[in-house]
Amino acid sequence: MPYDHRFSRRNALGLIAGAPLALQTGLGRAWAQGGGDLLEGARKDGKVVVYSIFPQTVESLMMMQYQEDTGVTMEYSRIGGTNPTLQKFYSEVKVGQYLTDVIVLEKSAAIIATNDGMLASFQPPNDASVVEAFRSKDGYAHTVIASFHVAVYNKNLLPEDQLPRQWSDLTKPEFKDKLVVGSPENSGSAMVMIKTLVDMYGWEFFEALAANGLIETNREVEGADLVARGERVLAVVAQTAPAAQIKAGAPIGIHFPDRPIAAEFAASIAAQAPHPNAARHFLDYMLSERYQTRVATDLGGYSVLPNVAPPAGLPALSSLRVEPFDYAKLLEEREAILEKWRSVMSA
Amino acid sequence: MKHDTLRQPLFWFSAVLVLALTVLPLAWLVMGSLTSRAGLTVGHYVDAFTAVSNIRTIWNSLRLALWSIPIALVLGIFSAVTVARLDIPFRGFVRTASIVAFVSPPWVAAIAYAYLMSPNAGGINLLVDAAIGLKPFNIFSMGGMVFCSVLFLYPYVFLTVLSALDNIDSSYEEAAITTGCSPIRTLATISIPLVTPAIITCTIFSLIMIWSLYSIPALLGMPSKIYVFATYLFFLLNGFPPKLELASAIAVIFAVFAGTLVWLGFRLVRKAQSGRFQVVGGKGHKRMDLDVGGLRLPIAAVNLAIVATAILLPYLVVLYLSLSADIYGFSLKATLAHHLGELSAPAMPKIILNTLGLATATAVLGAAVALTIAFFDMRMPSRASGLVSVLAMFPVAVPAVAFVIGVMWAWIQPPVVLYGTLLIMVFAQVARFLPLATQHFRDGLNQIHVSLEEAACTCGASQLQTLRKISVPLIRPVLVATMLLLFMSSMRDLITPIFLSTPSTQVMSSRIFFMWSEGEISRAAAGTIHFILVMGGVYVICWFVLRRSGVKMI
Repeated sequence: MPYDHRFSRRNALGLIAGAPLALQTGLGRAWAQGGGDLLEGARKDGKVVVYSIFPQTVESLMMMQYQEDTGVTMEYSRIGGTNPTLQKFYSEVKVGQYLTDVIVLEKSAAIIATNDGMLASFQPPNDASVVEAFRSKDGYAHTVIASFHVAVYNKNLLPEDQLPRQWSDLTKPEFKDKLVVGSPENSGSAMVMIKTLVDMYGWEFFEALAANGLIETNREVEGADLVARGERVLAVVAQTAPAAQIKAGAPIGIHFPDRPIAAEFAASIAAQAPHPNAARHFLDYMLSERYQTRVATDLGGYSVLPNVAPPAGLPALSSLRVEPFDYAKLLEEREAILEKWRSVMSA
Repeated sequence: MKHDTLRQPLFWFSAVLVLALTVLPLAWLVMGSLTSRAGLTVGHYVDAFTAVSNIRTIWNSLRLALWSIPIALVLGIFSAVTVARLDIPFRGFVRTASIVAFVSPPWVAAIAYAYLMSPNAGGINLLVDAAIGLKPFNIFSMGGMVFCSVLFLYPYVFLTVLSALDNIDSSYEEAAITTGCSPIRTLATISIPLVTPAIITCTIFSLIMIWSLYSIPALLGMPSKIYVFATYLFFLLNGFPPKLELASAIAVIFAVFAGTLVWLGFRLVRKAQSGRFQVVGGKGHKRMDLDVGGLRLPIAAVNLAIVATAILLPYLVVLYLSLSADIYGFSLKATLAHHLGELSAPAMPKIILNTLGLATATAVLGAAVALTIAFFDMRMPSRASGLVSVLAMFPVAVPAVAFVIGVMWAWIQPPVVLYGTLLIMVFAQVARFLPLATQHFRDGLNQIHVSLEEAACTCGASQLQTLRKISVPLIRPVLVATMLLLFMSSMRDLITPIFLSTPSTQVMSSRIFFMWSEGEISRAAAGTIHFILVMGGVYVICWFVLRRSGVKMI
């Protein structure tokens, strides 16, 4: 039977319906083909193992895209927040169990691991496209997600006109028994948030919050979930924490008080990565426009590429006042902060 | 009798295995608690007893046990005695539902009641608030943990006491009734005292179960920063830098404390069993149903209420959470998205394979080791076999988290590195469940009169041939029941995978826990439903296969 060249309605509908998929697949292939030697090396390794800290139902799908694009097996694991992830990584390496290729951590933890010689340096080709402020100078810790500590609130329980204008408003009686934060013992970005607010207002601020009924959850996502369910009204957590709840239709709003507290999340290659070539290629993938677009759309964070739009409904990165953060000082004071935090919250 | 060339190697192989499975982890645990970078130290023990947070943890663990165990005992004994001895309706239903409750993972009730009784947004609180302007419940509290722990312990107490009562001749109660005793007084003064050994055993094991319980304190206590032993160790081990040595010291303290209590408890049981409670004779026994007249329906209603609270309501809530299109808006619109999302998760095929592989390996290896130990101890007793039997039993006195930390220490470093494999989890689970399995086989072998085996030996069979051709076929129901119990215990174990799994060895229970921790409540609920279906499916398959081969299961 001769091939029918007529372009039927069904063909047309099929083409329209399949266009986004074809485009996606095409983009994926194009990205994968652009990898050159890196891709060849990754395929030789055949597999990449990633430890990460973001909500896994969202992030694992973003990362699995890599497997679909390249054919390289992606093994993803979310152990918990930054500190448990770092702890697991250290425990394994200490006894010669080199299981991880790429590890995603809050930036201060990545600096700790760099200082301890746990990470390898590599400058992926896509690093050149990254906004100067986020570019890795030494190649050890590459910021892949820029995020802010914001007021994540329940829209049904807190009208917009009652939102805090500045962080110090949270000590007011109207927020009594309504607040939740993540625990710095688990979450690296919660540690950054605490350090920033202590620098701004002193420990008296958190003592006042504790007296105002502040509670803490182990993970920031748990805090976001308490807000989504209406258990608490407002959480001071990273903007990426409620990604899963927003996806599920929870009545969650994100509000930037006067001074947003920046937190960077960095991807690094393990010094003893069992699949080093795949790790390098995967790191390059995380800095590609393909992945970075989903950082904004799926994860709700800011991309580190200048041409990627901010998350829906959030201001452009350039419009936010971002204060530089002194990571070296945080590392110096880390133990003291943890101890003081525990005494404030146990009082 | 023929000489067994395999007898000695088999015994020593099982002895070495028991040493590796049970003694090595505990030795590492003790060593870890006594070492620091500077060398040997008792500093971690000093820290354990002096830091306020450690003392608070010990106090919380005690409070949880002291509240949960008595309440679970009262409810379990009440249900067991009334179901076993009274002529009340729905007895069969209560029995079946309690078996379901017994095999259910403990986090089902925790997830359900977290949704119903959270202080501000819990469904029951909102309903009560709408009616009388009050939100009376807070599941994220010690009270909430006690409530769910009671629901977890009660079926164990119920089934143990029920089984003891089923074995006791009703003639004692019949005599009491004949002499004018009321049915209630008969239960209180005859039936319950007769099962005292079973009640003491329940109390001891309940203590160990409560201190080994992780999911309920993690789901309900950690959000309010109420740490008990299991969750506090998790907290110490997961921080950065981890406090491994302090965690080991606390684990050793709890192990010694729990071990002493278990030892005292078993001494008490032995004393109790030495004559005073021997009520099972060689003759067959009959069962008598006492008539409690007008109290029949109220008693049945109490039993049904317990079952509804422990099983029905939690399962309905978890099903709702897994099917609701919008749990944040209490929507009744149903969707399969959470189920499909969970089933199509890229890691799911491997997770299911890991779960079934781990459970099967634990069941097979656990049963093989336990049967060998029990056989040598009961049929070829010697000092060595007695010692191996004791070593196999003593993980029962070590709370699960402490034991798993020991396993991690033992197999994470050369010469034998098992960390990151399913085998390390198999080892941890086999060792933890070994006391239970060994005891089952001891009981099973006890029921077979030695004369049958002696007859085989007289006819020229070796002892191992006798074991293979006489003993094992005779205790086949026990073998199957034990393997099934090990399989189920492995599947619902959360502590082992939480501490020992890696990305490639994740199992269903840890996946559900992580989903919940990430606020993916509907996905955690869907995962729980799948988990229960897998467990139920395995049970039903076993039931059909065994029924066809003439073996009766519960």
